[in-house]
Amino acid sequence: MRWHYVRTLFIKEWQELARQRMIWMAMLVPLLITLVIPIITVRAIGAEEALDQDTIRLVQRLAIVFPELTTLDPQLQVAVVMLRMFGAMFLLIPVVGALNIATYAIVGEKRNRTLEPVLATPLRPQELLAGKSIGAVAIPMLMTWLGYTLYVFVTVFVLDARLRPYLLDTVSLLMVFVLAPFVALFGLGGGMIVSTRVNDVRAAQQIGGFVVLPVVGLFVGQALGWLIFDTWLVLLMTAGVFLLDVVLLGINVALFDPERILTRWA
Amino acid sequence: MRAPFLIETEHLTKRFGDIVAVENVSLHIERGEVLALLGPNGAGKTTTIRLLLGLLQPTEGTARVLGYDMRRRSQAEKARARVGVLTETPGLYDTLTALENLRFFANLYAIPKADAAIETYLRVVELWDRRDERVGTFSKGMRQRLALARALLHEPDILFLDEPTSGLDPAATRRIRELLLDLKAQGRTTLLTTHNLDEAERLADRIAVVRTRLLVIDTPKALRLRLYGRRVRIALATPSPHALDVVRTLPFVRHALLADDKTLLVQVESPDVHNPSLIEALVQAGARIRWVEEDRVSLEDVYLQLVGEPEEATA
Repeated sequence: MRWHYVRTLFIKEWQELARQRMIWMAMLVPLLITLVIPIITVRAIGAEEALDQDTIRLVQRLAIVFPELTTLDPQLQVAVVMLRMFGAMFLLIPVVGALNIATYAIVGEKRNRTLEPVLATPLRPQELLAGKSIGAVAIPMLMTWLGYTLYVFVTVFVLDARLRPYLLDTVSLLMVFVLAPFVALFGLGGGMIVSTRVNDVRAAQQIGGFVVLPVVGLFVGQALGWLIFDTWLVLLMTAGVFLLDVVLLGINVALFDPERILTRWA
Repeated sequence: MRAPFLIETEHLTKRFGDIVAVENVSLHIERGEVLALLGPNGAGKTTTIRLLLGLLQPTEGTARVLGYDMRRRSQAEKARARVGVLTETPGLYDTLTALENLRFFANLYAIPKADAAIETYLRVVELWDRRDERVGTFSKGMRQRLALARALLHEPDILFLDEPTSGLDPAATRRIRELLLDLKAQGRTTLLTTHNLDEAERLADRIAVVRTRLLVIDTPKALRLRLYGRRVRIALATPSPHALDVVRTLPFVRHALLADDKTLLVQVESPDVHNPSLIEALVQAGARIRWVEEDRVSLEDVYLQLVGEPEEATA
């Protein structure tokens, strides 16, 4: 792998993506929602007088991860439950972002027939794949990490410092800094495979939506109290997503063969 | 050591399943030569270029460019660094400016003084003043000129030009042809594919007519002679019903036909030697001759005879 080529491709991808409003919107909207949620949640909960049965059940389950949770006043317990639940949004931004960027990058190249001149240079197919992959993963990951930093800042430093241990704990950090990049790679891999088969960005994103479903499932699972993220669950999910990433990478390496690109990509 | 031929193929064959795209093509292109690959759609022209770039692997046969074996990926990579390509469609990034497009390719070719090369070629193709505009706003002709600049940016030893004027309006076609004539004058080794016979004749030293297989390869002039000999056009003052029969009996006439009731087209072995006897025979048969001239066989006639007939007839 010659990094000069990978960097060149990454810069080109960035130049193109910087001008694609829809891609930025797809990442910015969930990010803004995630940032607004703690403000609304913590402010609204301050007015609550008693916990409902569902929240009590969630607090009891969360107490397995945070035994000290039950010592907080009820309003803060609810705030922790809500904030932990919406923390899964930081897995949604990388998967949606990587999926969108990957589909745009491949379908755009196919539609404008820009890959053949690129392949006619000394560039190797694996460098092409790496350049595109880094571009598609790095940008949503930077957005995710920036968003998480703002999320913690707003919640802990602006709203209530007592929430700090529940947002900067091992589980949250593992989710955002270890699991999220693998989730982004999953979105990238799925998006690339779908994009090689269709010629329309929207169609590719709609079909590629299946890679977003497991992340939405995590969000719903938490909301219903079926899932509580602890260290082992996050590590297990990371291992599972990593294996899926390896499979998708293998498929994409095979798909990025010049002969296949020139003759079989729809 | 300099390779005797910059481009060589031996029995080059490419099949996609049951479909034969290129069959048993052997070509040898010398340094400084411009070869036009002429053929109908689906004749294997683009596939041949892709094989010569090492982007497709041949099913049989070999392809060497600048002495490199294009079947081997590492060698193909080295060859591609010294080859400029104008693909069938310009393949430019619409959201990037002309400058950004060329800078991207300059980096891929690892050009040392990229900015100077970019400026030089943007000026050559007369797009320097539009360098900061997005390519999406460019006309077809401007895109093709920019793609040509991209192909020349790294001063390649060989140029592959895949239908460089396809789909362009006459003014844009003329501008591209002028640029290609300049390149020819510089002695660039070029493989050009085209449907356009006039373009092939103007630009190429030799023409290879292909229809999956290589049907014939020669200079434009030799192709005409080889396929048609030399043809004489005889204009009669009045229709002469027996003139054609008379001409056909002459031993040196290879072929004769009536273009219309007062025009005879006669193919003779040597007009310089045989024209006097031909005219004498016609006059004796009562024909009244207005004028006689040697007919110029167009390359189109040659091409249509080659690709317009069943393969067996032209093989």
